[in-house]
Amino acid sequence: MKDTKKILTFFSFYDKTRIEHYLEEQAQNGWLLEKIHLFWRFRRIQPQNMHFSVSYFPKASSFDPAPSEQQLLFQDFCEHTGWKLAASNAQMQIFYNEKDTPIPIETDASLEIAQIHASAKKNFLPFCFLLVLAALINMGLFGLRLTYDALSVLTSNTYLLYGVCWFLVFLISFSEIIAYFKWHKKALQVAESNETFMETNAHTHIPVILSFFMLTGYAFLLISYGGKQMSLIALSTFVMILGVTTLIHVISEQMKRWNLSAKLNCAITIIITLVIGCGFTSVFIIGCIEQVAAVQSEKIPADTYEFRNHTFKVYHDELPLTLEDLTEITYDGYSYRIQKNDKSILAQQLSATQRPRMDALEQPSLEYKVTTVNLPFLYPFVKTVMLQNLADNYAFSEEEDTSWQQHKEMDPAPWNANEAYQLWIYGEAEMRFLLCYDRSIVELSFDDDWKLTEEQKEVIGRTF
Amino acid sequence: MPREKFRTLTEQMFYVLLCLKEECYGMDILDKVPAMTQNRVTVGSGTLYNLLEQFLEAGMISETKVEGRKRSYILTAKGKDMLDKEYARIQAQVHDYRIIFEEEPK
Repeated sequence: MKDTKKILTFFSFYDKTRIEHYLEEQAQNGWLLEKIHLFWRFRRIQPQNMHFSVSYFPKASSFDPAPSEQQLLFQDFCEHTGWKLAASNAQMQIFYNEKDTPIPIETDASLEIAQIHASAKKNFLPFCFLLVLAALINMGLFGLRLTYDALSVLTSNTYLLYGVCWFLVFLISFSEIIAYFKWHKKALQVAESNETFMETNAHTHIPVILSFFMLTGYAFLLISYGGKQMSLIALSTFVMILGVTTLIHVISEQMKRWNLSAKLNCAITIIITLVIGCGFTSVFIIGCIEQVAAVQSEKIPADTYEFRNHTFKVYHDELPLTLEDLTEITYDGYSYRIQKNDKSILAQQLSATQRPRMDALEQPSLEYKVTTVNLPFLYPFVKTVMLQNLADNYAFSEEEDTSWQQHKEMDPAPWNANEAYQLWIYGEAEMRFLLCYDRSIVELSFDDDWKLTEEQKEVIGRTF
Repeated sequence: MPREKFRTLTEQMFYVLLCLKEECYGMDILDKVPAMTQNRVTVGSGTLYNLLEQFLEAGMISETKVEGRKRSYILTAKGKDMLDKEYARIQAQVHDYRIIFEEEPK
């Protein structure tokens, strides 16, 4: 039978009432708290009724090499009335008492609330506010990317998970701040009116559920990559982040053993966190993302050829639509390539090209993108983005007046489509089309001298 | 509206200051207050620690001796003045109570 156990707990910093009840239950089951960190460590004792009290000592710091004289004096005071220290973590001190009716450690509600607030202002609240700020910045970056490259975001589970995770981080940290200040305000009122301490009851099941969603989303992402190599890359990112966090903690603990002052320890830990935690981790993650992209785009060509001292690749990917489907083609040197095939739970985009060799550019070519929308409510947004992209591809600068180019609606019936648009530049029709079907939108480009027939439109309509 | 600090003293504050009429170890106050009040008033160890810090900061008590972690305190003139004011306030309340219940003439 084990004599110690470790438990991952999810109590809010200020939730002393629930912590005390939890520890009393543990003692009744024969477990006494002996250390607090990420996990709470318990040691086996005889099952017994004990009283627990969570006290807050604002002057303590998680970077203190050892408890200060003031902290030890505080503990001496508590021990005088039978309260023994079970464990402490930064400002939180947890005591237990074996007497039946011990005098509580805190007998002045207003004073107790002031101590909790002073302690919260040291770590808990700044940490929550920093998380909210980090979440807002990252959500802003996500939103920015959505405005200028919406389709890349919508067709990438990685980007979507990134946005969702930071949104969940925002929800969790913001809700913690709101819950704390709600309790604090009410507790002050209660203390002022009837001099009693209002019990805490933080709802930690919401952060736990949201954290579970984040981990589930990450697991889904690993599965969605589909390939062992890419899943390993993504998994190694997760392990690396855990490793860096552990390393920073180990360094901080070692500085305590060297008796470095709390201020120096804190300053060095912040620097290490910024350099290793943010700098190195960012480089590693970006490298992993690029590696994932390279792996995804890396294909073995069917053939290669030399032209003007450059090597060109030839692919024979299976395309949904080829020039051979539209007309008789005698040339046999085409490269059929799927440039991109991004998929997410929201949308999918396939980019395909059929191009002749560089020494046969007089042969026709074909290029198209097929965007499939999985959620109907996203369809109008995707259509707007694709119409805009069609125009933006031909603008020389953002400030340029693009009224010289237009998407003109055309009869969709020959294409078997719901809507059809053609690009016009300076009053002349271009061989660039946007076709809207029930769930997909097709962006199609032919050579300028291509003669599009009604039969070909019908074939395209049947294909998509 | 929150009470202005030390404008009126709570019962615990009153008895802690009373204990410090004579030089006394901080920890001994934990036993003195219940003994003085026949266990009617008790002060928590954490509350006492914080009150002594606040009284020191406000100049109501002063530290007289430090022996390792054991510290002794004594009431200052300012602390005595706060006690006197609180005593006068309590007396006024007693007087008003007696008038209302006609135990004393107005």
